[in-house]
Amino acid sequence: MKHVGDKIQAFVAGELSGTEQQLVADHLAQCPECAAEETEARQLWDLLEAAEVPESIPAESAWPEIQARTFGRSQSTLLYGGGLWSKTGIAATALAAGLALAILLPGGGSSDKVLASDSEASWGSSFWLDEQSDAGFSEMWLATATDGSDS
Amino acid sequence: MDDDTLMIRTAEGEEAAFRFLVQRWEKGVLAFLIHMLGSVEEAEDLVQDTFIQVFNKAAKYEAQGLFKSWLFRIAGNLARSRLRRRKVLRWVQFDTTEHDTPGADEGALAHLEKEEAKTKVRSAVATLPARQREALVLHRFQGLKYKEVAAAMDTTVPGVESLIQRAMAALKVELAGKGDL
Repeated sequence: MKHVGDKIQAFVAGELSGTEQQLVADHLAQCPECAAEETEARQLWDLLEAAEVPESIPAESAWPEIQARTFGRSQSTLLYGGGLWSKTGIAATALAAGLALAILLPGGGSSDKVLASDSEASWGSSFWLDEQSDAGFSEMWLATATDGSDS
Repeated sequence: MDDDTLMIRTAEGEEAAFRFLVQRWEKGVLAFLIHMLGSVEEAEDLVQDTFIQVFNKAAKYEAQGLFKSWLFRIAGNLARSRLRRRKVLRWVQFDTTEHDTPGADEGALAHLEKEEAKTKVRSAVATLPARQREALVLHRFQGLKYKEVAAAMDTTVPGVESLIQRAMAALKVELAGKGDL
């Protein structure tokens, strides 16, 4: 009679196919040696319950931190830069503000001067925004771990 | 709502879907990482990193009903990476006074004995080689089927069967030596 020691763990875990499960069950009914092994395997399986992490851990959800690093970051990116639309929007705002200043200020200057200063401001904003965006991207990807295996 | 649908919605930028996903799985991921790292604090850090990766990879996620394996694969990679850097597994006992208090019908001495038994079993699990521990924890504590463990660990079903069998054999020796079996 061939013993089924190598299948007992999978049998206890209910991981065998229907036919295999039945074959092992039939064998266990006739073989005291394998039946004892099965009993021991079930005891050990039950004993492992003691190693369960208590339900009370964690005390609080990690969602606030995760939110801040995902959707929270997206919102701040919208405010401070990163997306094409936000950059365009801020550049447009800077352009409108420049034009308004040129019109409202006494001796408002020539239109050439307004356009030059506005253009400078917009470029400066965009450049700064790009820097912010890149920093955020790098930071997010620093958290990525490499794949691998050990023993 | 199933995990695949939540992932699709997360990729579309729906914060509520991602929040639901995090809250559904964070306990399981944390428990898995505590077993892998033996440190609640480090595990809590990696829970965050795990979900940041889930978020970053949401657009590339292929909805095939294998979210659980995919999630634990990310967590497992992060844990193994941390272990490689650390080399030595630290096992920090949970603060049982805070988390497990004696039941109404349980005396202080009985509670202490129970806690000692728990510590022995946890320590025995912690001494297993990383891959055996990972397979066992995913199967025994996270309820993954062998097929799902295989997908999470990038191995085969017979490979998982062998890892778990070896883990159980080692635990038997370890705990029998301490008179728990």
